[in-house]
This record gives sequence, C-alpha cells and structure tokens, in this order.
Amino acid sequence: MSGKKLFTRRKFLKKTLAVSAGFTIVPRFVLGGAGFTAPSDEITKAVIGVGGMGRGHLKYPGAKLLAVCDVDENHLKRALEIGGPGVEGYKDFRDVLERKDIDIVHIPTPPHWHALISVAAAEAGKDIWCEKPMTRTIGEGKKVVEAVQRNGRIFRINTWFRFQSQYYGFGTTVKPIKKVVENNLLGWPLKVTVSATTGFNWKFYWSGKTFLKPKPEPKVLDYEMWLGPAPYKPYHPHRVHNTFRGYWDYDGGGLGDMGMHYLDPVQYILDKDRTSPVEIEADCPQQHPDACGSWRRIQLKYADGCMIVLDGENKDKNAAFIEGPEGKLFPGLESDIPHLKEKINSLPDPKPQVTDFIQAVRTRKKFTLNEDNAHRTCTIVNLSKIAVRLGRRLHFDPEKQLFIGDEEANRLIHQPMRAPWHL
Amino acid sequence: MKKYRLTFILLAVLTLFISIGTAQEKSVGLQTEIQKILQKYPAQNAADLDKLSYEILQMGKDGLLSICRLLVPPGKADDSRVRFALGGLTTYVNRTGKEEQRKLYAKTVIKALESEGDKNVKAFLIRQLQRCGKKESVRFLKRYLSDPLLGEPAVQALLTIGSYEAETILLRSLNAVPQNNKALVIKALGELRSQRAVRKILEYSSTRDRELLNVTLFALANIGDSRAEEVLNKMAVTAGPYERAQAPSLYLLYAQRLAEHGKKQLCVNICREFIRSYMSPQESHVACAALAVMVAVLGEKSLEDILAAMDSPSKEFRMKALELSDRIPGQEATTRWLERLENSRPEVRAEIIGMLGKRGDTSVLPLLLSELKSEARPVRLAAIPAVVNLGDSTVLNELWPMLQFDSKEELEVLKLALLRFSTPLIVPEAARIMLDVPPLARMVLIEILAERRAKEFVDVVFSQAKTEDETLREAVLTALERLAREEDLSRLVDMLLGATETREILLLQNAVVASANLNENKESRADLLLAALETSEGKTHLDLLRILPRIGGTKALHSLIEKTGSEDDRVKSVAVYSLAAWPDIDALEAVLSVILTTENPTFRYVSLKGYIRLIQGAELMPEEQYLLLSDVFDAAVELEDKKVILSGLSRIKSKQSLRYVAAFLQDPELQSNAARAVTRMALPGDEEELGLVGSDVEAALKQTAGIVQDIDMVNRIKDYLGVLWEQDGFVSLFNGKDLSGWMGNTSGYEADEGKLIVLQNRGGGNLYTEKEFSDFILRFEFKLTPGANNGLGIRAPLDGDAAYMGMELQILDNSAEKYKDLKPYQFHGSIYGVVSAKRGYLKPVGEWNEEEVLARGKRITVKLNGTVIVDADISDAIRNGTLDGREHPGLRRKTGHIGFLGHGSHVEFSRIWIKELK
Repeated sequence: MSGKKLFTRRKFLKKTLAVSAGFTIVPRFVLGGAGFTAPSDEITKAVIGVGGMGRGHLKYPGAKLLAVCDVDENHLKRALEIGGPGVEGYKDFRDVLERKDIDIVHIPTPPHWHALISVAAAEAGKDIWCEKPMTRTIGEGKKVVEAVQRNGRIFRINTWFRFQSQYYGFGTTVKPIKKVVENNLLGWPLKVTVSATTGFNWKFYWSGKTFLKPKPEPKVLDYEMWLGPAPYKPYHPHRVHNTFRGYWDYDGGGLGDMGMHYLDPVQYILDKDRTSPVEIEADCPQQHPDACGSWRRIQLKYADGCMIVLDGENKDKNAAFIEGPEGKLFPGLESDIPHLKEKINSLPDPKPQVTDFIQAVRTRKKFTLNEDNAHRTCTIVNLSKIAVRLGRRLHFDPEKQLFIGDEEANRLIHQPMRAPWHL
Repeated sequence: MKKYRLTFILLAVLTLFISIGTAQEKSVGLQTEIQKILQKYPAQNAADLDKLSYEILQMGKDGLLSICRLLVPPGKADDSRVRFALGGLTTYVNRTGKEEQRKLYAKTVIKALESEGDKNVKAFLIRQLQRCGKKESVRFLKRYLSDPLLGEPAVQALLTIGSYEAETILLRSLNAVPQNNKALVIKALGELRSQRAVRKILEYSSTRDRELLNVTLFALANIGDSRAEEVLNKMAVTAGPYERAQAPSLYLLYAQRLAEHGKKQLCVNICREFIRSYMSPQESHVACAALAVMVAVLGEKSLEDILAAMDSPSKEFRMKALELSDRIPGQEATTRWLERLENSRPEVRAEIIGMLGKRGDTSVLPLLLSELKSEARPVRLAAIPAVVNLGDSTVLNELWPMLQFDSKEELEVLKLALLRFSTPLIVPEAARIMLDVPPLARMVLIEILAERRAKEFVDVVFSQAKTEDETLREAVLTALERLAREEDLSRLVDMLLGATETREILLLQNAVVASANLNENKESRADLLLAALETSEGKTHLDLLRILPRIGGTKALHSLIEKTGSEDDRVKSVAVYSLAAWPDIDALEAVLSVILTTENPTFRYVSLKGYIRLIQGAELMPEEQYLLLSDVFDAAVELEDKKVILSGLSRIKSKQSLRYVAAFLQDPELQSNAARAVTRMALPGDEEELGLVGSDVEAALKQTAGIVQDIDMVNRIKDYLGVLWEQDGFVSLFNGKDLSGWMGNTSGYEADEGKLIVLQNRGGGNLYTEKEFSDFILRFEFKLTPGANNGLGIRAPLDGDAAYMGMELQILDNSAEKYKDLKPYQFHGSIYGVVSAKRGYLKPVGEWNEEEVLARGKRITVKLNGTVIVDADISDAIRNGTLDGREHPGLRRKTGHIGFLGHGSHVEFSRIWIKELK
C-alpha cells in the first residue's frame, strides 16, 4: 500500500562523482542551477493543502504567493484561480520544497501531515506557518521542535489570541488577564475553567461515524497521498476534507479544532510555556477505536497545583474563568475583587511580543507563538485526547514528555508512520 | 428499535457460525450472553466500561473469541458495538495489575487473527495488538510481513512493541519479504536503530527503486554506523534534487549518531566542515543544523565556535548561534560575549545585545546602559528592551532622555519599554515632561497616560488639543475618550461644536459619549447636549443628534421624536435613523409611529429593523414578541420590509409564530424566507433546545422540505419529521445501514447510507419485512430510474406471486415509452389488476417521491406526493370481478408481510416508516 507512484515523477540523475573520505560537499547552487536566485526583498510563500482551511491562507497579507499544492485536483484548480497568474500548482509537496525562491511554507493540511511537512520544510530551509493543531501526536511535536530549531527556522502556529483579538466569549483581549495573573492579584495556584459559561463553547459536531460503507476513491483525489503517513483504511468521503476531524487517525474532534485556540492563551496566562500538566483525567463516554466522540469533562493539573478544567457539558454554571485563593476572574473582567478594572489599568504591561510573522522572518527573531510554546499547547490537546481515549487517570513527565507507568498511553505518544514516511 | 435490529444481525451472523458449527449447544447459551453484553456498548463512562470488560473476560477464551469473530468487513454490516467492545478490552487489559487478562486477550486476538478471512478485519485485530501486545505477540506478527495490506500494520505493531525479538524478526524477514514490503521493514529497522541490520540494509543502497533508496538512506543515517559513510556521502551527488537537498540533513543525523556512539571528534569535524561549506543565503539552515549538532555534542566547549559564528555574513546563522549560546551559561562566557560585542559592527552588536538582554546576567547592565547612547540606531533599539529586562526602575532615568530622539520606530520601542513599569513610576513623570519633549514623543506620553487611564492628568492632554500638528491632535482626541471625566463634558461639547474635520468629529463624539455616560443620573446625561442642540444648526446640529442614542434618557428621546417631524429633510433623516438606533424599548412607540406614517421606504425599512431589534433586546415573553411583530406586518409595503419581519419572527420559537410564518410558504416572493424561518423555529437547536411538535409543525416542515434547496437542510428537516412520527407511534422499518428486519432475497438489495437500493444486476427479487402487518400507515420515499418497475407488496405471504397471493401496489415510471400500452390498473400506485390509480403525480424520474399507504380493513388509500391517487374499498372494487379478470385470493388476506417486489430495475427507497393501527 505504500505509495509506489511517489517517486516516478522524478528523473533519476545518473551522476556519479568520485567519493572522497569526507562528505562530498556539493552546495545546491553548484548542482542546482535553475531556481537559484539571489534573495530579494520580497518574502514569498507557498500554501500546501488548499482545501477549505487552506484557501483562507492564500490571501494572508505580507508575502507573495508563488505556489499552491494539493492532492485533490479540484482544490488545486480553485486555488490556482484565486492565486492568479504567477502561481504554480503542485500535487507533491516535495516539489514545492525543492523551489529555492520560496521563503515561507503554509501548512493547512489535515493534522496527520503537519509534522512531516514541517520537518521536511525545515530541512529545506523554509520558514513555516502551520495550521492548528500543531501535530497529531506528542512524539511528532517533539520532532518538529527539533527540526525547526536545529535548522534555525521561524515557525508559527495559526492561532493568535495570546497577542491579539478578543478572546472568544471572555469579551476582552488576553492582555488584561495576563496582567492580573502576572501581578498575582488572584494568588496562586490557579484553576482555569474553559466552558460555555466562561466564554468557550466546545464543539462536538466533529464526531466521526462508527459505521462507514467503503466508497470508490474519487478520481480527482489521490487518496494514497492524502493518507500519507496515516494507516490505510478504505475510502469514505466522511473521512476526508471537511469531516476528517472526526477520526483519530487524522485529528481529535472538537479538541483538535478549538483546543489550541482556547488553550494557548491559558498556557500563556499561567506561564506554562516551558512545561506541561502532570496529571490528566477525563470523564467521557467510551470512544470508538476509529471515530472521535464527545466528552464531558477533562481535568489537567500542573506540578505547582494549577489546574485547567475543560467543561464540555458546561456543568459548572458559576465557574470563574480563573479562580485563585485571593479572587476570581469572570468574562468581561468581572471579579469579586473590588475595582479590579481600575487596578488593571495601573499595572505594568507584560513583556512585548514579536507579533508580526513576516517581520520575524526578516529579523530572524522568534515569533511569539513559536514551535516551543505551540508544542506545549498542542501537548495539552494531545494529552486530553489520550485521556479521553483511555478513560483513566494519567501521569505525565513534562521533561521527558512521557507518561509514567502507562505503556499504552506511551504507545499513543509515538505512533509509527506508514512507509515510506518517517520523521 | 435500534436494539431490536442489531440483535437481529448479530444473531444472523451467529447463526452462520453455528451452522458452520464447532461447539453448538454450549455456544448457544454463550452467544445469548454475548448479545446481552454487546447491547450495553458503548459504555457511558469508565466504570461501566470496566464492568463490561470484566464480564467479557469472565467468559474466558471462548467468549472472547466469539466476540472477535463477530467482526465483519467494513460496510458489510454495522459491527460498531463489537469494535467498541474490543477497543474497550484493549484499553482495559492495559491497566495495572491485569497482566494475566492481557495475555489471555492478546492470545485470543492472535487466534482470531489467524482464522479471520478478511484483511481489513485482520488489520483491525493487529492494531489491537499494537496497543496491548508484548513479547507473546511478536512471533505471530511475522507471518503478515509479506502481505501487501497487512505488512504495514504488522510492522507498526512490531515497531511499537519493540524488543530484541521484534528486531530479530524484522531483520530475518528482510530478504524474504516481497519487493514492495522491503521499504517498510528497512524503515522500521532504521527507526529501531538496529546496528545488527546495517550489513543487510547496505545491500539495498544501490537500488534503483527511489522509494526504497530514500528509506534505506534514512535508516542508515539514523542507525549511524560508520559502515554506511560511503553510501551517505555519495547521496549528495547522485540523487534527484529533493534527495540531494535531504542529503546534508541525513548526513548530519548520521554524524549526530556517531557522536552518540562515542565518535565525538568525527562528528565535530563533519559539523565544522558543513559550517564552512553551507553559508550561502539559501543553505545557511544546514550550517545552523551543523552548529546545533556540534553544540549538543561539545557542550561548553563549543563557545569558540559560537563566538566565531558572529563573523558569518548570514544573519540566520548568527541568530541561531545566539540562540544556542544559552547552553553555555556563566560569567566566564558572558565576559567573552562582552569582548565580542566590542569588536562587532552595529548590526551584529544589536543582535548580541538582544541575546544579552534575555540571558539574565545583570553584570552586563552598565555596558548595555551605555549602549543606549550609541550612535547607531539598531544598537539603541536593541538596548532599550534589553536594559528593561535586566534592570530595575532606575533604568527609567536613562530612558526618559531618549524621548528627545525623533524616530518613530525608536519611540514605539520606548513606549513599550516604559509601559513595562507600574503607573506611579511613569505617569506623573510623563505628565511633567510632556511639554518639554518634541511632538512625536509627546504623542507617546499621551498614549501612555491614556493606556493607564490617568484622568488626574487630563488637563495636560487638553492643553495639547489646539496644536497645529495634526497627528498629535488626533492622538489627543483619541486619548480623551479614555481620559475624560464627567466634569469635562462641557468643554468636550464645546470642542465638538467647533470641530470641522470628519475624523476629529468622530473622535470627539466618542469622548463626549464616554464623558456623558459617567454621569450616574441617566436622565441628566444628555442635558448639556440638548441645550447645545437648541442653539446649534447645520452640520453641528446633526452631529449632536447622531450621538443621542449612545447616551439615552427620556428627555433626549423626546427631543429626538420631535425632530422626526422636522421640516428640514436632513434633520428629519438623522432623527429617524437615530431613533431606530435607540438603546431601549422606550422608543418602541415612536418607532412604530414612523413605520405607520412615513411614506419614505428607507425610513420605513430602517425603522422596522430598529423596531425588531428593540423587541428582541427587551425581556419580553414569546407571545408578546409575536404580537408586536405580527401586528406590524400590515404596515410592511416593500418586499424587503416583509422579509425583515419574517426574519424577526423566525427568532421566536412558538407555534403561534410558526403558523403565522407558514402561511407565507405559498407566497412565491417570500417562500424561501418563510422556509428559512420555519426551519429556524421548528428544528431543535444546538444546545438542548427542543424542536416544536404538532401536526401543524409537521405540515409546515413538509412544505418547507419541498422549498429548501440545501440538501443537508432537507435531510435535517426529514430527520426531525422522523422524530415527530416516532412520537406519533411510527417505527422505522429500515435502519439505513443494513437489512436487519428484512428477509427474502436480501442479496438483491443493498443498504447504503440511508438508502435501500434495488441492485439491478442482481435482479432485485422480493425483499420482505420479517414482521407481518395487517392495518397500518406506511410512509416511504422512492426514486425511479427511466423505465423502472418495482412494486410494494402488502399483506403478502412469503411464497407465491405477491400481486395475487397478497396485494401489489405498483411502483413504476409511468413516463417510460415502453409502458405506453399498459392497462390503467398497471400504472404507478394502482392495486395491481384491481384498482387503477390517478396518474400525473409522480415527480420527474431521478427525483425523490413521497408515498403514504393507508391500509385499514378493506380500505386502501395511496397518497403520492401529497395527492390521493387511490382511495378504494376492496370489496366494492371486486364486486363485479377484478379489472384484470384474474383471481386475487390475496385480497382476502388480513395480514402479511410488506415487501419490495423487484423486477430487475434500479430503484432506491429511503425513510421507510410504519404505524400499526389497532
């Protein structure tokens, strides 16, 4: 089942040069010829995966679009129409990475491809703008962090609430919340509740179907390549495109969709960018081995006693968004602390953040939501997914990024990819 | 209903196994027990799942095996409960203290795997082993390594289980597996970093199979054995462009592994050579990677290499080096960095300062403070945040003088730096020096005051309002919205009266509104504005009118109402718009009065929208809302008016409102709006919000389903109609997934996602309900193909020709040429040979039709797409003999099966519901 056709598109280069003792350094511009151009001032980009989500990326400002790539001919056709002249279409992302005139690669594919394309892009010297959730497994996330950092790349994940926009139903930006917490107005440790009451509705319509009748693969879709590293399962339209989030092979239901949007600011507010929860527990109906279902409550505790509660049923109607020993913070900055809003005004600002990705690419400064902290946020999502799937309390070592005393849970951290794909 | 059907399939499948036969009698009891347990899946919580898993394990190996054997190939039947059960067991046996159960379970899964015929089912079982298998599973996985479909899951399971044995099996199978499976075995050996495999993997390094070569090179690099050096080296020059680009990455991976195996120097040499060679703009990431590997290997000893990196022309490489510098903490290293700083050009200097600011070593502070005065702007820009990070509030003394600089970029950085300090440290000083700094810096200070809501210093800000500098003036006016106090209202109003620029007027309006709304007495908030309104004229007058709705109060409202009668068209127009935007329900009557009296269509439309908004915003009961909205419908003139009212009504979830809206389903101009409104009102909402019920709701929804274009919406409506019917005593005869509940020629029919399809190539034949029915209402949908012929058998026996031994209601494409000579009693809907149906009510071929059959005693009524096409008493109909002159003994039957009578043409059925009549 491993894609036989994958490499036929390339011509075999019959070049054999003498082999010396050391690595024969053949810089690309010596062999490469075509495509090697001096770096120009204009930042350029390619978008890999141009379905519903990817089409949005085509028009993000700041960089010039040069290439689009998809395994579905219809997606590709539409993207090329939107992209206009000067944009080329590809079916294989590796052909895009070969192009030396592209600076940034956007990766709005389904999540099972995020890690592979991110690592390949990093090794090809591209900067990366990846869709959430960052990776499907914790193991893949570690590899992305390694590859991005090793190759000196600038990476961002496509969520932004830690530095801009109104933070969903909370009703303000994240900045005043950060100020309140950073200046210890609520005390420590803190409990954060993410639920409809506090402004965050969990979407459960991403559930998968537990019974699917296989269908013939559509001609316009290269299903083999769509699956890529994911296990082979017979084709059904519900598994791909707009509904793939309902299947564990590719994503993780509503957690995969909204998890990073909702939880990245929480991690920032709690100052947990360099660590992860140590104890995770989920209350949910049993999950199907293949299809994601709903859950009632997920609770994640950090070593210092801070806790994040994902209340999927919105059971706690009195929940504060953040609760500490000295006060509570509700949506709209309402609080039991008198005159909190005035107090917030007089507090110092949090550290300035690098919030312009194109500028980060130019100055080589780490973007504020980068591979490091995005991986930690995505780890909250992935830990929650595993807790939901296993239905038992889990203990996690944030340093080693492994579960303690749970072999099966660890098997979900590292899931082998289908050949020939590897990280 | 669902339970009943599932039991049936399971029993059917079981029956099959029993007839194949192993241990019959004993197993019958076991099977019943299994059925009972399976009904309880999926478990609703962890405790229930544990209990169920425990119960299954209590049944021992036979029970487990029987459950595994209930798995069916994908799509054959809905075996999701079996998959839930097995998935649950896989997790259960992984709990601590369950090792015995785990072994038993794994061994049983293996046994099931061996006897299973379908490869997709086998793959499912192998994936269970991937989650729970250990040593015991390894040797059984071996036999699947050569299989085209199962090789992959087997390798993945072996890889996950790991162990020396798994490695050995993979190694030994490498030569034996077919060409297509070699890549997966080699990849796995590479991922296991199998030193033992190097010699064998090397044999594939000259393959011409690109995929295999790629994987081979990866495996060799990842294992990191020096026997592979030559091959990895050659790759850089022989492969295609993509592989060639990968070559340095793989070679560095190899080098890293060498270091892990103790060959550190060799690794470092490779890294240094790479850094020298890959520094061109588009390859410097390779140099970065080499440096990263080297720093990881050398640790503190890599300081010289990191420092040397600052000489590189590549910014990317320098920034990477600076990032890596945090691996070498300590004073000694800091000193070296300071030396390096001295000898660097401004750009690099700025980069190093940025790093030092983050490094946290405060000993560099004095030097960085002096860099604030650097001649080079990039250096100053980097030094500002760096000193704030490292220093305390005394740093401020150095920052304030920098406001004399006049670069926008620098002032922005300075502003962010100042805002890092608490209010008492920055606000009084900002106000104090405000007049002593250049205009650009003054803007920064005003923004700081506004950000901190420093109202006590609002006078300083007001003092700048008259400046000639336009950008500064805009900053002032923007700040006033945040800084204005209640007592500032009168001067703000004065400023507003004097303003002429549009942008300034907008900003001042905001400030006026903010100031007025600080007044706790709602009624007097607008007093000043109303006074100004009296004396103002022209555009100013209008600007004042426009902000009244943002302030509110009875007096303001009355004033506005009065202006709606103004002679001046512009005043009148602004007044009508402002009234429609009024914040509370007090304005309702006045808005209504505009709606009823105005002849200006725009005024009417705007006021209607305002009227609806006011009603929706007030806390009114649904009945009150309904009355207020439906009342105003007569005042609607234009189509758009009516649409907006329908949309308003659609938010009221009441039957009253639904009935009102449903009346417009027949109005061609409004029907699509009415349909949207009906769905919004009648269907259940997202959050536990129930749908509306009742026969009028049902009728409205049926009509709506015929209007709505969106197929998903049509399905949602029909699903909900099913819910309503269920409440009315209907049960579904077809689960949409499989043929449970049906018997007869089941191979001629197929269930596919809600559709029951008559398979043309297999002839169809007769498909009967298992149950018998006598008096009933049957509802179903069907779709014909050109020339299609089928029939609906009722009260039929399982044997014999249903048209005579039971009753056949014809299902036929009346429009087909080949049927033009049929007798009237042979067309669609007719009781075959007995009663002729009315013709002309079928939808065009290819569209879905709805049919309802009422059978009560001798009375048979057939309704097609809402029209009665047969309504007959059988006794009357045959009093003078049948139409076809043949015997129809079936007409005397009181009960029997319902069936589809296939005549070899493709027909689809769906949504089949029945209600038995007592």
